Amino acid sequence: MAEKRPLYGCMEPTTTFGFIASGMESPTAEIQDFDRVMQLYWPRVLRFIMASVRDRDVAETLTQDCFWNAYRSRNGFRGDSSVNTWLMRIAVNRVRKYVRNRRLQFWRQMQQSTVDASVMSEMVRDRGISPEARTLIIEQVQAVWGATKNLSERQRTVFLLRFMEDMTVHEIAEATGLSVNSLNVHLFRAVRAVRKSMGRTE
Amino acid sequence: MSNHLSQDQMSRCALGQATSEEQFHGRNCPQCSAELIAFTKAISTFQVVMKDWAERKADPWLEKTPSSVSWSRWAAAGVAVVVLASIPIYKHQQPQPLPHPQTKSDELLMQEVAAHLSRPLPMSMERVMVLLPAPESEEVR
Repeated sequence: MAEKRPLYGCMEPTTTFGFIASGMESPTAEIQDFDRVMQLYWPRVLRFIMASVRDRDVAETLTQDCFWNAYRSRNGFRGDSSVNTWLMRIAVNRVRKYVRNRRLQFWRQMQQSTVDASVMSEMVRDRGISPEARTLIIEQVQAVWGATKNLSERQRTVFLLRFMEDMTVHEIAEATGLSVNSLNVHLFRAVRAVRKSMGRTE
Repeated sequence: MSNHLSQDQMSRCALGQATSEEQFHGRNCPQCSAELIAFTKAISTFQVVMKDWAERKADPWLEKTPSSVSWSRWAAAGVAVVVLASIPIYKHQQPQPLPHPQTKSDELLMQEVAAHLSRPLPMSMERVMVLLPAPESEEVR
């Protein structure tokens, strides 16, 4: 009896999964595999989009869009980059498209002030920590959240991919389509702006 | 010129792109080190909180995704529905069942209990009564 092969022997988040590169014969197996991809990467994509668009409902909608796009274009994925980078590229493009939709900008500005205030209390769980510790955490998160708000869309994207998603410069370059030099410039400016906004100036 | 790292140097340190001299200063200067640690700490707290939030938000959605429910659960639910639906039909089609042996033994038990309760004497006294002479013998005397 053949030993059952685990779907993902290696659950490394940046692993290139064989199923997409090689193509599976059974559509059911492929869908099951895609379910696992969703389970693994949904939180990553969601939090990146959330930190980019700063709206819970929009973030969830765009995340669904991303996975739907990924599912439809799964046959085009050749495994040149990791699944994580591939999904992030889709997410970056989706966010860019959303942010550049000028018709929505007015409503986004109207909503953001109310969203930002309530998001912090929702994000930081009060389970098992003292009120003082929770306040400190909220302050730290709020500082970064507020600092990234004023970044340009591109700076925010590279900053989040580098510091929230722990992606390497080359992975970010693949996900954003930027050259490494250009990326480094955006990243440097983003860090400087965030530090300045957080009050960590010289 | 300041003895501390400039803003740009700090940013390079945060990005891991600082020169060895800048890194050395960043590690050994209490003020610069404190600034770098504060920045790193805020970023890592933000990262952890965002991860935690996203996982919490993702869980319920993924749980209620239809495709994530295994086929075996659907199969079991289907079998249960069929079995439940067939019970009334089965009952209706079957002839009236014979009294169960358990029912018989229950009836016997009830009879024994009734007999026990209707005794003129307590059961413990019955053994004694056996030893006593019968009332007819007294009449003979």
